[in-house]
Amino acid sequence: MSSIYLIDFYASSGCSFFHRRHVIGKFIGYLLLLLTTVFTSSLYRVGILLIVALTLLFIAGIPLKQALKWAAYPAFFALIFALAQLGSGLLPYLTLARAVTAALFSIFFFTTTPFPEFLSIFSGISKGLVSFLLFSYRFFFLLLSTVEKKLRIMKLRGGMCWKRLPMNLAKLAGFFFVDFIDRSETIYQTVALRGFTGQIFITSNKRFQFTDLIFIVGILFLISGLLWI
Amino acid sequence: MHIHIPDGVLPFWLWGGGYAVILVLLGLFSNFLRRGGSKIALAAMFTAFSLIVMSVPLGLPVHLNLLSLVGIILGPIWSFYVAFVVNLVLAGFGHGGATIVGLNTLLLWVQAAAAYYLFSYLLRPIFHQVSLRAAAAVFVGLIISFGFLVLLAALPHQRPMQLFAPSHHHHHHAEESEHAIHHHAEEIEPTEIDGHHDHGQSPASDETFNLTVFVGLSGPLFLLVAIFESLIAAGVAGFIVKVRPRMLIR
Repeated sequence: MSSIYLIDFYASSGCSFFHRRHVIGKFIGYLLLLLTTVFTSSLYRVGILLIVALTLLFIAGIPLKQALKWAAYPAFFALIFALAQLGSGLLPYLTLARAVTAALFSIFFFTTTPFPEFLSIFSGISKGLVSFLLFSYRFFFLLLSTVEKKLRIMKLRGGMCWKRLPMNLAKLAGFFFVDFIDRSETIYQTVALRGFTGQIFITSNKRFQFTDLIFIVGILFLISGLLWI
Repeated sequence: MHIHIPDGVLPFWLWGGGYAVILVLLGLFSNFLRRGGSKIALAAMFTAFSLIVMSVPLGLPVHLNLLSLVGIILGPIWSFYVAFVVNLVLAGFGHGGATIVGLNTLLLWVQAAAAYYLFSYLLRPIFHQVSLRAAAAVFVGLIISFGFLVLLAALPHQRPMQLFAPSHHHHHHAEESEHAIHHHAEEIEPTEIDGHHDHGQSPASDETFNLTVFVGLSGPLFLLVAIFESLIAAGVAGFIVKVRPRMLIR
């Protein structure tokens, strides 16, 4: 089953130096590293950035095996693009390296930042969008356990054989689709009773500290050094 | 299914443009979020479900997305929000493509919106049976989305017809003059390993992308999953018509 719930687990339960940083500082640092990766056309520099990403994940206490497993997904799609670029020197390798490195930086940011904290960045921009994102985040965990339970039941009753699999999966999805109508009505009525007006404002409970500034400056130094060598 | 474009394969003007388009669309559709009522909760449930479905690989890192079906049920505007949030979350949660969220959202939205209009209007006179119509709408929606992907992959190149050449080096036939070869080699800036030629541009803008290979690799995979997804769509539509027909028959 899906393992992306682990990202939320690492973000919420971790207590490394990066977990304690303010979301704005981390977000700026993440954007700087991501954009450097995307704009770099040197395999050598992307290689260094890849090592930086793995080091950051290691320091943050994220299992590298799991992070690389997640990074296999963008690597697969980058491979299609890379194969189409064969015959153009190092470009295919660069395409692969950039996709994996950028994905690892994203994984680093989201495994060290709880999702509600990430949403606090957007609270000032669109409260409607933030409430939609929060609902989706909450429902993801609610549905994950239900979907897992239903799939287990289906498996135990022999519904996973290839002959019947598409129809059984379709019926299961259909069941959920119908169920969503009723559940969404109930949930909306419940939150409306509690005063929900379509907008939720989230703030980070951490304060932007001097260490956060040092974190950003450190990343800027790293990028400057990378461009200089 | 959709091909999730990873970071670093498209030039800045293209992915930046994707972000610009979705920002405009988010602004245009913002009223729907404000006055959404219970539809917010419903769309969020479909988003969560899509996230679960998309994070379950089918052998290879390939997955169903069911967004065309979501588009048929929720309509084009709410499916835009679903596509955006799904891509935003997946970009951070391991699928990559944080810089391509705009374009990946448009890719998913195109299939959802196309499936909606096909199901509700264009295919209505042809297919009277709802499950068949849903399957056809989903299949065509996915094909349109794939066409859009191929267009996005081709856009960074200035001369699209040359993209279909079998290989970059095969442009040059033996009878071509030495001067022509030399001139072409000068045009293409090689990727540097020593790191002295960063110009902040994606190498994807070089004319080294073979679209035939790209379509040849991704097309069959896409077609296989599109057929599977259409079968699922037919089953889902058949189930909904039996249980809650008003969800689909408007």
